[in-house]
Amino acid sequence: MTSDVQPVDAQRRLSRRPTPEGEGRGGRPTRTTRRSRLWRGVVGVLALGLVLEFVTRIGLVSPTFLPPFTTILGEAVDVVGRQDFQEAVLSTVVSWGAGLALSAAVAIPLGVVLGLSQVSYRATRAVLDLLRPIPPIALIPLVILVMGQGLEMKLVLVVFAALWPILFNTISGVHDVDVKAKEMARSFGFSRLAVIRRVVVPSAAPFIATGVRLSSSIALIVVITVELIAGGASGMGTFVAEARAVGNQTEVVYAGTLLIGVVGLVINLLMGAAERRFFGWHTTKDV
Amino acid sequence: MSVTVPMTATRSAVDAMLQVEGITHVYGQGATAHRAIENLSFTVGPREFVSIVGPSGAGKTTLLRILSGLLTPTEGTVSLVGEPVDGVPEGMAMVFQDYSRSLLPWLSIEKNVMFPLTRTEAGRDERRRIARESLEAVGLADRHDRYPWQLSGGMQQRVAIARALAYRPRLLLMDEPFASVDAQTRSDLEDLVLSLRDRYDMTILFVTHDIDESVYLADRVLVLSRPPAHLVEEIPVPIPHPRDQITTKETDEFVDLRGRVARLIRSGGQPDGGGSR
Amino acid sequence: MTTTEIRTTDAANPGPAAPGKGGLRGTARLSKRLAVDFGALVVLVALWQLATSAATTPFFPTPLEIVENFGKMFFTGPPEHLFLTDAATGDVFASLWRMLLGYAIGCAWGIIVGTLLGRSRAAREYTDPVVELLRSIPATASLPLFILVLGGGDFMRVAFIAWGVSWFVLINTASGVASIHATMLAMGRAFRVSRVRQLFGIILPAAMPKILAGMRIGLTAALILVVTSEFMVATNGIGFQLIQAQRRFQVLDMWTWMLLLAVLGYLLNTILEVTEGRLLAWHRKARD
Repeated sequence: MTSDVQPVDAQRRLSRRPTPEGEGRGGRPTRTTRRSRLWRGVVGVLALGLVLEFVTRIGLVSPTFLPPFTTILGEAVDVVGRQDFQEAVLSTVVSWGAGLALSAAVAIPLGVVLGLSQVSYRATRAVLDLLRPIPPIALIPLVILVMGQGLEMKLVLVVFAALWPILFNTISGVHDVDVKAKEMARSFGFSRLAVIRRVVVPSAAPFIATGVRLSSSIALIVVITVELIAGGASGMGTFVAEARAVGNQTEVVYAGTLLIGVVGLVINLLMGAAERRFFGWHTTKDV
Repeated sequence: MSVTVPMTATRSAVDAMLQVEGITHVYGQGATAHRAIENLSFTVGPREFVSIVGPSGAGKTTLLRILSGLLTPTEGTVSLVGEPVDGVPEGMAMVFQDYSRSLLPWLSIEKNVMFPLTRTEAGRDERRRIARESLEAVGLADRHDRYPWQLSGGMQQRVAIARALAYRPRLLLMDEPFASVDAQTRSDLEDLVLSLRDRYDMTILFVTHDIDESVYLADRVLVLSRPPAHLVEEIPVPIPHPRDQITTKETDEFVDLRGRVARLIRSGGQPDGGGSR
Repeated sequence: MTTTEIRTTDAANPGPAAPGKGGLRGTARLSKRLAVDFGALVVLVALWQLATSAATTPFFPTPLEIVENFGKMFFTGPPEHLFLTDAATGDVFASLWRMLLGYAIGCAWGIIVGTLLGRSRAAREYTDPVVELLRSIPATASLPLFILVLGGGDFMRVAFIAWGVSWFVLINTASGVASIHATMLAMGRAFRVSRVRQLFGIILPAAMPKILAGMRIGLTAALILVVTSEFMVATNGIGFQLIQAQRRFQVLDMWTWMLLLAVLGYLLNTILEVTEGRLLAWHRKARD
């Protein structure tokens, strides 16, 4: 019927892929090419900044729509120093982290069980297939109504959304465990539980890690979306939504959105680095 | 569809299909630069079958990329029928080593063979007829509606050869085409190529690292050195056609020639060439 | 700067075994299989019904009530409108229209820019930091900015959806195009295939598995984005009705709109999986 195997993605950086031009001896990532890549990235950022600055300074675009780039940067620095923004960042990050941890705590054991037992997997599959495509934001109004606007409300929504990649990656990771390894462990007299703990979970770990990384982006989207909509919540989403609603503070909205991107980027980088650090040995199959 | 190779050239048009003059190629710059080819010159006559052998990593693939116009050499010129090659020339087809990458997996093998035929020059029916005929020549006419991944490696390489034939090339470049098929299939494909050369009136330049293959197929073997690759020696192969996988390879002439080539390769292009030490 | 590129889901996992060979044993086996496959679902829905009818909380109507209201809300219109109500034609179609338009624009943009980036290593290197930062902004977070700059109309909503969708498609297209094997590209050039045919005959088909994977995630995102955009400064649409029902404590209506979203999510997912399966049959088989 439908797919069981959730994206297990290849963890690569865009410009580090093997490219047609990079074929043969010219393409090895030497120190020179690494430095030139960094250099080009800087040039790209500066060029974009210059263009944005230029079109606003010469009046091509009204500053009520797009403030000069330097103004946005200056505003971003101001915003970072504001206490209400710092609290918002903390609130968002805490909701994200707690939600992700909870999702993993629910999804990993569930995934191990469903991955090991064919019957339980088949029995729950219809339920999972029906629940998974439900857009998590559809639940926001209900959960706000039932649970109010606190942290618990965010957590419930994050778990509902972030559960899936971890769950399905755990299932496929457990499926993928070498039968021989399991049999060997059994033949050494390990109990069923010990086999799970010592063989199954460690071999499935790279898959699980990929699931956690995918879930991490989803969790952040859900947290921010909830903050945008639930007026009483607090967080970076709320911060930007209020800056827009209260007096259209253009610079603040731009700066806030950019800073949300920075937080998202830092989270992505950390998750990717952690995955490479711990599971670098695992070569994810590429398409 | 007939490919017209410009015949306007005057000097060497008759006596050289392909003329390579003083080719040097350097990858990269500065400290990391790698000299792949150094001052390489040779010519290939019309209807000639020339093998190029050399130690692995000798820049054979680089050379073919230059000859096919895919890569511009750092120095030197390549001429096809007297016309300098600037970009991919007309009348030249290529068979790649990696058949699984050179065939398009989303097209049937007939469509793969039709793929390079341009729509302007031939109608759909005509293109299909040419494709069928080429597939027939490589013995795959009955499988025209299959997909590449449904065929064995040897058959896939036959498809790649059929695609080249359908293109009606004057010059066929083959880049270690049989390096990844099994030994029996390889012999069959070698004989297939020899028979097709006669039937289709082609000049063939065949790159390989297999010494037996280079001697068995060619009229002339060019031995390249270790990088930076230069021409170590040209060895004519005066063994008469038709050749036979068993009897030809038993002849003293063949054994002698393959020994010479092997020594040249082992010495990596040192002038003494002997394997005495 | 990690690219979360999404792999093609493969439907390689074997589905339920083929039905038994008829006869009594076959029937028994079939019913047993149905019991295993759908038993849990039936039990769960029954429990939901029992629990909600026993409970007195106003927040949880019974599933039967929701389904009944669903029919009444959307399918009791006049015959000349195919029995669709104003809610169905007005709000649902408004949302779908915005979503599909935004999705189409986002996909087109993502494929065009992604192909350009995938073709040129230099272009990728120049844009890498900018692309990584912009795509790290969670899709919904830029909604206030879009409202601020483009106002509260449909134009803003379509642009917002297109923007959000485009990143998924762009990243996957770029990575798909960049990872095409050099031999395949060399083949096109060696046979003097025109640039246009190289693009449409080699590059795009070869990258199609990854492009479609991006488009699948993008469609899921498009539904989320349209509803989110209708939560704020809207006058109609599914999201608007959902949040209105919540604000007016019309709990049954709220659940009905939620059910509609669940159904839409399920339908979109199914449509895409079927399309992808059709288009990429070669890819799946070629890998086996």
